[in-house]
Amino acid sequence: MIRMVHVFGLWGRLLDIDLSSGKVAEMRINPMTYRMFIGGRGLAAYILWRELGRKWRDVDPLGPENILTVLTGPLTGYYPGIKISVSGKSPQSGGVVGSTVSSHIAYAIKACGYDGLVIRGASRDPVYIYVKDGDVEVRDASKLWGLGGMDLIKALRSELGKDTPSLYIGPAGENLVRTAAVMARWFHAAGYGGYGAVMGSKKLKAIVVDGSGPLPPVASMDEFTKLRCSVIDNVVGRATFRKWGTTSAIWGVGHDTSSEPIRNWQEEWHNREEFNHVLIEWRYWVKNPWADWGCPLACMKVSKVRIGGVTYLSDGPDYEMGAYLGSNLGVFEVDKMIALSAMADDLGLCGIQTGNVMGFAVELYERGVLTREDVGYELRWGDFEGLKRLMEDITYRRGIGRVLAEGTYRAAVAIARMKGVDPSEVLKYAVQVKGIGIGAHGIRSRKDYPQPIAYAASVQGGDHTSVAGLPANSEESESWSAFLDSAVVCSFTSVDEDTMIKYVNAVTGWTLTKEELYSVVGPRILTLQRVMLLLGGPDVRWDPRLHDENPPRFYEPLPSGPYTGGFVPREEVRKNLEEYYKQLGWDEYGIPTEETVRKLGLYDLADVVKDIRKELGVS
Amino acid sequence: MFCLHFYGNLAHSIGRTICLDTEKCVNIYLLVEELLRSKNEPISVDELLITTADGKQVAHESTTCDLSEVRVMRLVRGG
Amino acid sequence: MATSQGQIWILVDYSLCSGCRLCEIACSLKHEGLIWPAASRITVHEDYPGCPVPQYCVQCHDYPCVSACPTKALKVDQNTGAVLVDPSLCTLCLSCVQACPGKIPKVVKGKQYVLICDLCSGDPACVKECARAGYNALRVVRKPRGTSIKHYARPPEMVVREVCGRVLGD
Repeated sequence: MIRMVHVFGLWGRLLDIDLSSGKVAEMRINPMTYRMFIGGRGLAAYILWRELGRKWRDVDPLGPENILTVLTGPLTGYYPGIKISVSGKSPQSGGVVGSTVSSHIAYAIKACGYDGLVIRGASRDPVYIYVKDGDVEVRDASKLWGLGGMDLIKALRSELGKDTPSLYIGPAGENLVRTAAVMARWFHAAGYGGYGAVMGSKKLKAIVVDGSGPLPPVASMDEFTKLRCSVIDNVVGRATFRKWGTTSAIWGVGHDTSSEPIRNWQEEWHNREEFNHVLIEWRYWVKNPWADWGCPLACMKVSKVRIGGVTYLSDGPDYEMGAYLGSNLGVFEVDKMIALSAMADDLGLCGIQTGNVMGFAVELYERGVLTREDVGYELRWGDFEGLKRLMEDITYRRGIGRVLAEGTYRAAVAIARMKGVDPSEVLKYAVQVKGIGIGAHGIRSRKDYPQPIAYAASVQGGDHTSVAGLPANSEESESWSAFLDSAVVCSFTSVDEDTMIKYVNAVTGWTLTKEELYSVVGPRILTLQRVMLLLGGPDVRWDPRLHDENPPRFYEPLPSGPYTGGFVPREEVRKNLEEYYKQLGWDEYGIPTEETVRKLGLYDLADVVKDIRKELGVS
Repeated sequence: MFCLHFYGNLAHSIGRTICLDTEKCVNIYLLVEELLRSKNEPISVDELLITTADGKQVAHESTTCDLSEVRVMRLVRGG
Repeated sequence: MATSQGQIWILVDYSLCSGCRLCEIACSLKHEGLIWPAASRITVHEDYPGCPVPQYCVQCHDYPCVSACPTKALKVDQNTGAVLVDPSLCTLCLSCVQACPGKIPKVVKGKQYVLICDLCSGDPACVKECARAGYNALRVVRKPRGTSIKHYARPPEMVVREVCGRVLGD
């Protein structure tokens, strides 16, 4: 049989755009590389290591030497529930985070004949990238610079004459706020990793893609059609999730499983009837259902509130935003929670990371660590006006916002220095792992995310969409998230492992098996990410003995709710870490062994892991 | 013999596989709900995806006499 | 033009449309054997959050596109009422696009003729997909009598503005 395309379902080429020189080239990705790293997150790690690996530690994530990758994967466009993977060296963790976001741009890129974009260098003046089929233009964006999401989409629409899929940043990304997200379609964000700031550092306001071609053919049309129908039926069967989306979790995760952040995680349980999704639906939703490209799930809703003469539009809000900009800030009035969520989206902030650092700041204020002199105004739980001001100060790096814009971890270290106290005195209120604020799913009740090493062992730190767990050869390990993010598909529409693997094979023509996924492909991506995370730099360095750890707060017993007294047992954390590492072929400190990296085909890592071990004095 | 295979978080808290001897034909969704309650899991059956071995969603009226095994997954809840 | 009893029509309910584009995917899979949204005969427009507008040929009673075609490449399917394009006669002169009150016929790079909804010979793939996905924003009905249906064929930006006005209020 003659192969028409590189790999079925993929084109095998990326656009390689250098913003310093304005040069555009094509980067070929061979079928073997796809087979080894799948695409998306895995491919990003591969490209970043290949291009920057030798000097990884010195690469400033916010310098022109960093590379921003925007990649699809083999399931993009074929599997219901579209995503695109945004990556680069993370200004939060110093490693690589595969951040995904739902956006029509994912299929549009493939419809242009490419699998993704690799963006290097930095422009001197604000620009946006416009791709129309085979043509790439780096266009002037000086008139767009400074605009929030809503206005930007309007401006792009009138400039281009039609609605065209885009990824963009708000003012937060422009100001290099480390909690800034890469935004899409008003309310969508690739938040983890802080890639909004990376776009800002490249003076890149937006990426707009207009593709008019077809997606590449699939390997087996019959099998693909059959699987696609069965997945759609499966997803449509999730009646309550379709009706209320993740908004229902604002009530349920707090009330039922007791794992929702409240006042910077001082509590994880609430009994707030007003958080009920049915009430939210009646009071605030103007549109239900609302879906992304090719998605039968429609987890999104459009809500609208009016406060003080200002209209705010947001989605649900979805659970993470509801929790982090609601209960975590002591905001229990749903209209204000929606307004803060709408503000974060428009400013281009990651609601999770920003809600995390804001909650941290309010707690520090409450405890007297931060004072009115430091902040300039009072910080109080649930104080809408004050919190709005704080969010804007972070976005524009004003006053205390300049410190908080660095994200929770760096802010904690800076505040300790400012106050002349030991960093641990401030870090004990920072609910983060390796520079990344924990997603809104606590582990103390053990009823939501039950694994005590979920975050401590994750190669993406506090990322709740990529958690670790035992056993390593099951969908509880991080290999599963690595697979979903590399095939680039939404975890909400994902189904059982067997079907997902069959689906990838039907599209690509591969013969991937579950065994191979858990023993080779998943560990390969994780191992590469782990090594880059341990290298870190330039301003952060993680010691696995200290930083493969939960935030101190997770060792405090839960003070309220049905799981009062619940905490994470320290011994179990260490024991499970060692077991998990062993299963992945890493040593007791979680440093991949030379034998493992060779077995996984990551030959050039052998010397690197030896050096890491030497540096830590554990060789 | 009717077997339930649990995936993800549920496998961690309930166990990977539970097999039951059921004399009567019991509605599968009710059975799972009862099981969750007996294990003190604060999860409602709405949050689960119950499928056959080949990934098809189990019909709401199916009983333990119609099938010999099902897979139970917890849907991702919360963004 | 004769209107037979069996003619069908695709009814749209904007409030049920999620903007998911599964209709576009199904249409291109059916007609082109590929996922090719640009070549879909149905197009979803969405300029503001929450007000997607699917647009497709609504089979005006007077068929201005058919009368405007200088090469007789367009004709009306007497069974379904759909406008059928003869690829061998179409010269892509765009007369039909200009004649259409909604500018709906599509021209796509890679296709040598204009694309217009053919109602899938009476069993539209988009409608089936919309039902499969549980939205039911599109439904097949008997073609309504009277000329009012033509008002659905308006430039997309006009429809979007009105639908958004109703959803978002301002």
